[in-house]
Amino acid sequence: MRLLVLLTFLTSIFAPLQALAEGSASAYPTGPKTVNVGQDFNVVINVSNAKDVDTIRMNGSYTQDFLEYKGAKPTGVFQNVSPGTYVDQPNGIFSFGAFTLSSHANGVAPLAVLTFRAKKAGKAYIQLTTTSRLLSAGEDQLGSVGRLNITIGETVVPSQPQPVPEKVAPDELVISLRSKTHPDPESWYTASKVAVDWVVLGKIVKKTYIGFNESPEGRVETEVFNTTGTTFDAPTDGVWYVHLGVDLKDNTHETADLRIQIDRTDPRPIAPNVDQTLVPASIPNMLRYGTVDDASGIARYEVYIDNKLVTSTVSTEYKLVNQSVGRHEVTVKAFDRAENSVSGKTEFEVVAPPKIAAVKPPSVLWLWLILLAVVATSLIVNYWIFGKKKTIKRPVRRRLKS
Amino acid sequence: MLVVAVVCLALLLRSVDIVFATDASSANFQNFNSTFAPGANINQASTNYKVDASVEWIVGTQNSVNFTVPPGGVPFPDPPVPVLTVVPSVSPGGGGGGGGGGGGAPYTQTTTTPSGVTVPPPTIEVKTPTWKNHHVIGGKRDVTSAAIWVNSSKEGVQFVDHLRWKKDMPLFLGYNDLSVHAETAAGNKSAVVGGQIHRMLIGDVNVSRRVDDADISLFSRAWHKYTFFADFNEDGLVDDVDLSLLASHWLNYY
Repeated sequence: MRLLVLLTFLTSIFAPLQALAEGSASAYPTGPKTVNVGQDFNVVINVSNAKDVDTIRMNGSYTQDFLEYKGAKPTGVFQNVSPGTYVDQPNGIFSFGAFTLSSHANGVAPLAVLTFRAKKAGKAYIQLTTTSRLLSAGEDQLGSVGRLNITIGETVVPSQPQPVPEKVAPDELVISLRSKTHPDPESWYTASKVAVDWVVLGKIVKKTYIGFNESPEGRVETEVFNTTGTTFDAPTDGVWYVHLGVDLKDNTHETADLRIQIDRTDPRPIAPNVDQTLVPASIPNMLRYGTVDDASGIARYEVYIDNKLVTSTVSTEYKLVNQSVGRHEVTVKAFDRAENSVSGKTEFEVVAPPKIAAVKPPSVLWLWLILLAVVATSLIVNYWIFGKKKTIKRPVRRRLKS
Repeated sequence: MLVVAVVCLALLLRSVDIVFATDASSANFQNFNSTFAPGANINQASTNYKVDASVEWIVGTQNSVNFTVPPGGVPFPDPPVPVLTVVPSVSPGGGGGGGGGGGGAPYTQTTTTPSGVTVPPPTIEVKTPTWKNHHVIGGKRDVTSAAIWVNSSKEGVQFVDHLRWKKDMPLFLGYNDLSVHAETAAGNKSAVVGGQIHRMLIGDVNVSRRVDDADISLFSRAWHKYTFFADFNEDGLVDDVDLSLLASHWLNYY
């Protein structure tokens, strides 16, 4: 009954919001039907029939033998990545959560962009599972989920910057697109200015085009003349792609792409906290901390107690054991994958163990004495009986022998 | 003989058990009474008590001098959670009885000392529910009170002045029982005044005892508002600090 009262209480608080959370919405992935080995491609998760959706959780599976999950980001009205976002590449499972602190998703809307890389030729799929959620003020309105089937072609697209060979035959083509400022496509950088240069060897080039956008399959946009390098300025954090295209004298067109990952923003503020701020040393206490980072994600936490590093971990809790009596200051630093960091502090105090209700020594002593007396008495009695039997039996044996 | 030994052993084990027994004031005491709605059945006697209409009907009798209900009720009261004052109702003549059963309603257990002296019981002022892991409780006391006992212990109880007392109480998740009485210098005891403080799991906006996406959904609706049920640090505003606190308790449950 009291639980009912409590639920009614909460319902009354959010009643105006729940009224909008009716109906059945669908979440489904859209993306290219065919890709090539080594190619990065985006899959957009869309929703239809959404009504005031403020929070999403997209759980799904994919053919891990054919696809590699490269990352995800919220899109549309969603700006913030939720805690609990993860990928399990060996088992082909992902969970991506996001929420909005401003306007909400209605009707047909994009929710998230997932990036995959094709690993080998064959048939692959990306399937959302029914454990996904589309929430509006706490109410789930997900009715159905979708699946995307993809065919991966045999053509191999290099996913890493190609080394420049010493010799290239005139009928071959080598395009090497590199960045000195962002050399590793898998790493995150804090610099927003991206310097790229390229080398095209082998076939004769008629025209060169360059492009810089957030789509792995994006198009080249601008023709460049008499240069083999340029710079771009990424306006926002996230994954960007440099696209180089060349028109060749044999009237063919070839492209090369370079992935650039930029995160200039610190993680959101962190507020470490302890389960108990004043606790006896004998009582287990837990330090908890956590935050979110919308671009590259949280890479690790560093926990300092009294300015001494005690752990560097991905866990969001640390058990406080063997702490000395007194007040302790805790600092937790959160680092994202680009090494941007944020820190927060808290305190806790360990007190001497509480006085335990003392048992009166005499009573325990008396109980022990009684127990000892009982045991001693029983031993004496048993010995006496045992000894008496012996003295009775001995003469009998003697008589039988004689 | 054997029977005597067994009895002695049982008594010894019992005595050992006594050593490790805890009472409600123990630091590792936990109360998981989930049947009590926050604020239910507690009389509101604060002079400036203010609550929204959606809360009022489960709260009970309102005898606050300046009690107000915003027109039509507002989802987020300001101040969001009132200070609850438990006013003991001493039944004349005593007779014992009373008790805190029935899911945490405040109660007064009246006792009369052998000398026939009736000691006025103290009052308890607590803030419930709360997200915090400790809470300074306090209240009024009679001028004759030489000690205030909270959950069978007077340790840590301070007298603010000649008419008030306070104590910083550690709180555990769930419902924390309170049992308070006064004692005079002559050893005469007052009636026992009881109550509860509900400590909620940080991040658990919908009070489901688990922090998950539904809580983020409700949390997002409270962003930059004065909503107690998403204001985990109780500073009056739902902001990044509260988001961090929610994230730090992600998928926690009790």
